[in-house]
Amino acid sequence: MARHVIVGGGTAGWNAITTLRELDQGDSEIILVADETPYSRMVLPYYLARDIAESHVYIASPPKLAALSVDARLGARAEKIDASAGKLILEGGDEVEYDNLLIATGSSAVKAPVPGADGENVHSFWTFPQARAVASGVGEGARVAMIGAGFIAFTILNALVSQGVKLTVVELESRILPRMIDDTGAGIVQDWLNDRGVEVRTSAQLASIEDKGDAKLLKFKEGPDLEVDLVIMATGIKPNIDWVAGSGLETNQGILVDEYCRTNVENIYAAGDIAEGPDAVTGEKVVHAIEPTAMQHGRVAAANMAGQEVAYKGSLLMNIVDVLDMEIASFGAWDDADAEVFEAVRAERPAYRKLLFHGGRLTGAIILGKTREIWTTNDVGMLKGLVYTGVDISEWKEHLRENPFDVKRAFLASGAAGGLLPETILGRPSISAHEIAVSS
Amino acid sequence: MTDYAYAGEILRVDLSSGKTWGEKFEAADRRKWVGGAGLGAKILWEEVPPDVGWDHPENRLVLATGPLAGLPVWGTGGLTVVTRGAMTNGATNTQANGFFGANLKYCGYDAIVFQGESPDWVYLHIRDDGVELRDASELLGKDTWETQQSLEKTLNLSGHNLSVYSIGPAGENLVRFAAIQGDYGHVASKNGCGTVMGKKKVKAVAIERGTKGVAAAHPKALFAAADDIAHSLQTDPSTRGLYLYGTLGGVRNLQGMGALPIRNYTTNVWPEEVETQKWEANGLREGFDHRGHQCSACGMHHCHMQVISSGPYKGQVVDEPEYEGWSGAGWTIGATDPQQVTWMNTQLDRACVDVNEFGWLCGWVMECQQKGYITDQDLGFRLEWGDIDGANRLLEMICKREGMGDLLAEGTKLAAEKLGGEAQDCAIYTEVNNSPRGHDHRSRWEEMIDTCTGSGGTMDTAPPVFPTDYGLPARVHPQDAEEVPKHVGGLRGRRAYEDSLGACVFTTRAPMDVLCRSIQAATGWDVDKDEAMQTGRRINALMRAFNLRCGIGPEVEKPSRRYGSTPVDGPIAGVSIMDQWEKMLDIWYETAGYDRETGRPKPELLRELDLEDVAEALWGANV
Amino acid sequence: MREALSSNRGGAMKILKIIPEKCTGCMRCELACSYEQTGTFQPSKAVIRVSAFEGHTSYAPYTCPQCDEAWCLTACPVEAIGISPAGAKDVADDICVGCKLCTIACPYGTMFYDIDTHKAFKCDLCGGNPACASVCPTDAIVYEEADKTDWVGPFAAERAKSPAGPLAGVL
Repeated sequence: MARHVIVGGGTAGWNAITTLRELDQGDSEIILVADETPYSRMVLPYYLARDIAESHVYIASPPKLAALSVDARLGARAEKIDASAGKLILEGGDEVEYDNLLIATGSSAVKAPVPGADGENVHSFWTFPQARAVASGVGEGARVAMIGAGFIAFTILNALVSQGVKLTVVELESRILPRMIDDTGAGIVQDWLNDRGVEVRTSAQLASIEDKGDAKLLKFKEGPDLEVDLVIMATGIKPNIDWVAGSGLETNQGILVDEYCRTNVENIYAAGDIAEGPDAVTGEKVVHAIEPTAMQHGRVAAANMAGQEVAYKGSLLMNIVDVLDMEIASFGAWDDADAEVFEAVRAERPAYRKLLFHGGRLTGAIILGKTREIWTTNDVGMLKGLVYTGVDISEWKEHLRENPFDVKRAFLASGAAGGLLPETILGRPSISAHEIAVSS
Repeated sequence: MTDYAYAGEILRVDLSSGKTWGEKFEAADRRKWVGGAGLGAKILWEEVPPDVGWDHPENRLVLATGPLAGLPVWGTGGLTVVTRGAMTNGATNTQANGFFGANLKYCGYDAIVFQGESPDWVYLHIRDDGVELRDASELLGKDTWETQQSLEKTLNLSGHNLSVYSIGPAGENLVRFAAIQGDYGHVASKNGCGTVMGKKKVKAVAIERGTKGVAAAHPKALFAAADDIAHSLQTDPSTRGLYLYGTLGGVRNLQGMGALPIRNYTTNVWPEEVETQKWEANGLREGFDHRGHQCSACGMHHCHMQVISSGPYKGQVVDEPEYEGWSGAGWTIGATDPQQVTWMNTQLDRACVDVNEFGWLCGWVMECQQKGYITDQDLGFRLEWGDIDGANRLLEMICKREGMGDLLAEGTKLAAEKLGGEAQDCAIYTEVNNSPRGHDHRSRWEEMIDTCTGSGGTMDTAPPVFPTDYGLPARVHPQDAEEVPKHVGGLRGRRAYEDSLGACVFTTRAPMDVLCRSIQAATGWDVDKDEAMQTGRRINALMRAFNLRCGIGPEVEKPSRRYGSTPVDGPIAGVSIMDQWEKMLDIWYETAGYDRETGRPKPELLRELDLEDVAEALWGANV
Repeated sequence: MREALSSNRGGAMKILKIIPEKCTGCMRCELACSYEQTGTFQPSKAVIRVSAFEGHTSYAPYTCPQCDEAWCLTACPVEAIGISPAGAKDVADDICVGCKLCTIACPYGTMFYDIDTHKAFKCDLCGGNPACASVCPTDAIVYEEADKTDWVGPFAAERAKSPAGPLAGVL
């Protein structure tokens, strides 16, 4: 039996496990090396909002892993790879031989490099333990500073507001969500937040965090100090690649992988936030560090580890976040200076659409609208479909220039659905993880 | 109290101040007045005193729907317009369908009530709770279809996600018989309701398909009742043709009984050159590229769009005319080419006038030209029978009030009275100024008496629907001077109730107990056919009381000379309604429970209808 | 095991077959669907939605094609989406946290988010008796064994050679 060793039990690792078992029904050995019981990072904001219990955060309990015949080494940490020997070496010296190795050790939060960033009540919000720490520090009336106004920050904004905190968002750059939407979109979102009692400071460079009694005093290069009870650092993440140094793996931002999620080293695969793989629109290799890409990496890598030849065209860069009932999403190359851009704002809704074209193809899009707006979620998926398939919509281009909101009819007429329907990433219909079991 | 079947709020709009606000539609008022015509009548009675004429800022323009709107019973996007109208200067009760009622209720409102007069042209934009009067200057001069297209662009919406009910150039220029048109082909046309909208400087109402829900008390039962209504419409001999073809079958049927108003009532004989087959229901449909365009939740096969297949207007998209269109834009003015008539009908919808009144007016001008009562010089050109381009030119003159168009814009009655003499004698109108429907009512006596006595700017009772539900014969001879008024008086109320439901009068043509089951399931009320009738009679009585208070009484309940004349040819040549007129009125009054002398609903009737205050207002405290 | 699992895919599955040529735009499917979703008549929460083409002369309903890739299902981080006995991808409300990943994963635009329940929702074929099909007065939506294909695309494309279709400039 082949032995698959999977390092990391996040989205990529877990999807690799279920895909392997879907394909082989237990006809292989799977060893999971993970420092924690697998959990879903995506649901931590709902844990913070106290919508769900801790148990809901875990995706795979030890019994579930056992049921899938996974030899789970929980609490173990990988230290290095001996590729020539086909061995993974764990901290403490244990060695695990592999036929196939999947590296899915994800990424870590990076704090702003300012004095006091490592002090008490200054937390990142990335891992489950960090989420617990933040959760214990927020409550009605707590003053919270969110350093960074990116996607991660915004995923927990609703949770913080629903807890009744007094929130100030601090962003170094001149607009919020700088890597997710453009100036126009950011302006609309900022107004939306201000109207709902969230203070936003942009172009604000944090200088230091000091203690002031039990409180924290934030000092800036310019502008007034800010006194809060808790600081959340959402200032970026970086792939956890340090430990693979010396293994012979080619790295850039992350570990470089091809369309099979293979690294340059035989029998070693990488997936998820640590992997730098093909982008569906540009074809270039890039670290997306988003959940859907991690899921697809995990499935594609596993299919190839199981001996199937599954190439995929790459994942689509996309993000969606709901801030206080406003939906914000972007797809593909939304920040492309070379693209032809159609955009429209409807201030009274408010709503915003930005469509980016190369020739007859939609290559990127931004959509913003009230969550209650009938068409918002509808258009979100259709924009994804248009960007992902790259279907030619030349005939609708002039219409969309005039009315960038009329995505739905353009999508229906594009035939994108017809092109998509026969497509499956693994070459077979997907099934629910609940249906996956090993043969007895 | 739940809000089953109701949004629960009435949107009030004061155009003078620009203020808008929501007002509760009190639960206690709902069962008594239902919605639509009932709600409108109540508002009119309470808020429009006699000295507030149709063109007074304090006149109310009520655009109301009802409890069935937005629910899955067929044809439930209904709009009922109630106002003090420009034709009669009395009450108005006129309907259109489309998606008005559904989309409005999903925004959270059962009705819109305009009051005041805007200093500048505006349109009302409704999007859930977001209600705004917006500058309409860019819409001015546009016809109703152009207005909707323009707002679709402005608001970035397509299809039924936006309902637009607007006035065209006719309404802007206060043509007295201007209508309100919506959703490409649905027209509330009677009594100059569009004129009132124009006077208030409201170009359009644009309603986005709201995000709110409408609940039904017993949803499963509602689906079942809807299915039963649909089944009845599909299978009952009295409605099956309607289900398949709308009112297209009317042309041949009415021609057979001498009720087709050919060339302004000058003849009842089908011209020899006309191809009969073309005018059968299926023939009228086969001639076009035909496309479904239904109202909310409706499965009837009418209200379609069609593409003109030949002639000078080939390729143009029009709404398929109902019978009234084939009549008003066709037979009445001597036009017999369906391709041309359907084009003209849509021209009327787009300019936004009442197709019946235009027919009577245009047919009258044609006859007057032929007979020399109106010279080419008077008119500015020669207008022959059946000249569609000429009719369209006349329409443009009327809409712009150019030349003689300024006089004609006042409607047939006022224009004819102005000309007087022989010209007046050949004009078709009623003294009260209700526009007759597009038939030759000299062979349909029930409609003539109904049109002359109607209190809402048109007929009150309308064609009988399952009269046996109320112990009346299934049909009576259309020229039976005794039975006809008993039928019209005896069924009085049913239509007013239907007009209050937010549904279409075609899809409410089911046995009353079946219809009541849908209302029960929607509202949770144990309403039965007697309560329905009682409610309808209450509404009719209140509108009549309103008109009496405005000084409109029995003295104007009669046809014009031509309208009441004796046919000279055809199936009922020589049969005179006027010989029987007074007798018919006597019977009608008796049946309706109204006082023959004064026209007032009798005090005991008003008390029975739970209208104590109205009894007091009409008869004094001591009667 | 494999055979047992494949019972609800491939082969004999009933789907919502849409015949847009028959649709008249009455939107009754939206009403019935929203009733199934919410218990009230609230088309903003329908998961079948009708679009107009060529001005107001053509209409087409559109809903989840129950695609084989099951983008929503694979995207869900908490495995809240399963495949029902009717073969529909179906959201388990008690597991869904409302993260919306499925709404961007789905390239068909048929995955929705309910602002009132904070859950994702989609067409579940009403458990095998789809309301949209049963209330359609013109049989433009039928539930039967048929190919999973883009029933609306060719119709829409035909009427969208330009966005107003052959009637451009008229409507």
